[in-house]
Amino acid sequence: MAEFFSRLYEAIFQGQIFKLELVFSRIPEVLKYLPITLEIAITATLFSLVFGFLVALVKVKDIPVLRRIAQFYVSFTRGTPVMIQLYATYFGIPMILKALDLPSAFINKIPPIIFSVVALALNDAAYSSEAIRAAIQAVDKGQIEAAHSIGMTGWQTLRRITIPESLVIALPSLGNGFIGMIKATSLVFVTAVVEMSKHGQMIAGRDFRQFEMQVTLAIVYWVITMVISRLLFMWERKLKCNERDDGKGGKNDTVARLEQVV
Amino acid sequence: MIQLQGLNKWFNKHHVLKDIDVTVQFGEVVSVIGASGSGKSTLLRCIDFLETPDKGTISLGDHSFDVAKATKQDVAYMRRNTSMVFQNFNLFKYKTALENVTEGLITVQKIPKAEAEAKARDLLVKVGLADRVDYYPNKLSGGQQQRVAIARSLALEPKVLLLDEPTSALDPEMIAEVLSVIKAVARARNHAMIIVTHEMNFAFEISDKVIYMDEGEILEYGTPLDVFNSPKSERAQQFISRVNLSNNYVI
Repeated sequence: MAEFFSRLYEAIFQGQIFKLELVFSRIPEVLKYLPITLEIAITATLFSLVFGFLVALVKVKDIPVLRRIAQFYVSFTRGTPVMIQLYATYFGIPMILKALDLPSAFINKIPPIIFSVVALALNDAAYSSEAIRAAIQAVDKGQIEAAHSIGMTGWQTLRRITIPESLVIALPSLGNGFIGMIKATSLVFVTAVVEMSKHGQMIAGRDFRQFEMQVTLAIVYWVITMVISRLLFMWERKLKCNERDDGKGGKNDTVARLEQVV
Repeated sequence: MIQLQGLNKWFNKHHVLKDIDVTVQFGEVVSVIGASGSGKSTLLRCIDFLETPDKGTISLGDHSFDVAKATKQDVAYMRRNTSMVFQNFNLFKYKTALENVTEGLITVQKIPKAEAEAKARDLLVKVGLADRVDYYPNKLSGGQQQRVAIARSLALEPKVLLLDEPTSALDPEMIAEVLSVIKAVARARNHAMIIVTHEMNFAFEISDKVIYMDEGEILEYGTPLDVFNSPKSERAQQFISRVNLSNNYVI
C-alpha cells in the first residue's frame, strides 16, 4: 500500500505521468484565446435573444402557420446534438449560398466564426424562446391593462412594459443559457474556429501533455462561469429590489432609513 | 359628453351588459352602485376597451362609432381620451411614482421629458405625495399607490375619468385620504367622471347622478336623492335598505 502511494506521489510530483505545475503555468497562454470564446458566446447569445423573442411572440400570439413552424423548430433543435448542428451549419450554409448562385469567391471568404455563431444562436434560441414565452405570460395582466388605459398601443406596451418586466422574470434561465453557451463554444473547432479549447489542445499537441491541458481548461471554464453566474445573480437582485417589501436595497432605502432615525 | 347607446356585452353565454344607455356630460360626476357581479366594472372596462363590447354605439366628443365594427383607431381614440383608476392600482412596478405619471405623457402624448416631469411633480404635489416622488410602488402604502394612480390618470387630461372601486382594496385607515383626493378632482369638474363604488355616503355626496345596476341592467338613474331616498324598483329598494347610508343624508 505504502509503495503504491509513494509511486503515485512520484508520478504526480516528479512529473513523470502528471506535471502539476504545467496545469497552472499554461493558464496565461490559454487565456489569450478567451476573447474569442467570449466573442462567440456573447454574439450568439444576443442573436439568440432576438430570435428567441420572435419565436416566443409567435407562440404567445398564437399566429396560425408560424406557430407550427416554431413548434417544429424548437422540438427539432432540442432533439439534436449541438455538434451535429454545428457541422450541418458549416457544410449547409455554403451549399445554400451556392444554390443561390453566389460567387464561390464570396462564399469562401465567409469567416468561419459566422457559422459557429449562427449554429449556436439557433440552438440556444430554441431554449431561450421557451424561457421568454413563459416570462411574457407571467407578466401581471394588470400592468398591461394599465398601459392600455393610459393610451399605449400594443407595440408601446410591449416595448415599455412587457419586455422589461419579462426580462426580469426570464433572467435566471437566460443566465443559465449564457453559461451553457460559454461551455458550448468549446465545440466550435468543428467549424474550423480556434477558440480557447482548440488552442489549448494545439499547445498540448506539442508535448503530448493533453491531460494537464484539459485540467487547465476545466479550471479556466469553471472560474469564468462562476464569475458570470455571480454577476448575473447580483444583476438579478438589483433588478428585483423594487419588488421586495423587506426594505433591503432600492433607490430610497437610505431615505426610508433616515426617516426612521429622525 | 360621452354617450353609450344600447351597449351589450356577453362573456360566452353570460349576458353581462344588457342594452346600457348612459349619457354623461363633461364635468358631470356619475356613481355606479350595485351588488357584485351586476356588471358595473365591466361597464367601465368596456368604455376603456379593456373589454370589447359586442353591440351598441359609443360617442365621445365628436367621435361616434358602432362598437361591433370598432377599428384600431376607435379603440386608440377611446383609450387616449379615457383613463382608468384600478381597484388594485396597477402601478408600473419597476417605475418610480414620478415615472409612473410621466410614462403616458412621454410615450403616448410625446411631451418632452422635462415638461412631463414638471407636470407630474405638480400633480404628485396635488395628491399629497410631494415627498414620495422617487419612491417605487412597493415602498408606498396602498393609499399612496392609489393616489399616484390617480395622478397618472389625471396627467393625461382625459375627457372621461373612470374609477373602478378605487378604495375597495385599501385598508380602512387609508380610504379617507384617497376619497378626499377623488372629491377634489370631482369638484374641479374637468372630466366626465364615472365611479364604481361601494362607498355609499361618498357616492351620495359627490355625485350629480347615481346609477343602480342589477344583473347587467340599469334599474335606477337619477340624482343621489332620488336613487337613495325613493328608488322605484324593488331590487334597488332592497339593495339600498341593506347598505347603511349614514343618517346625515337621509332627509
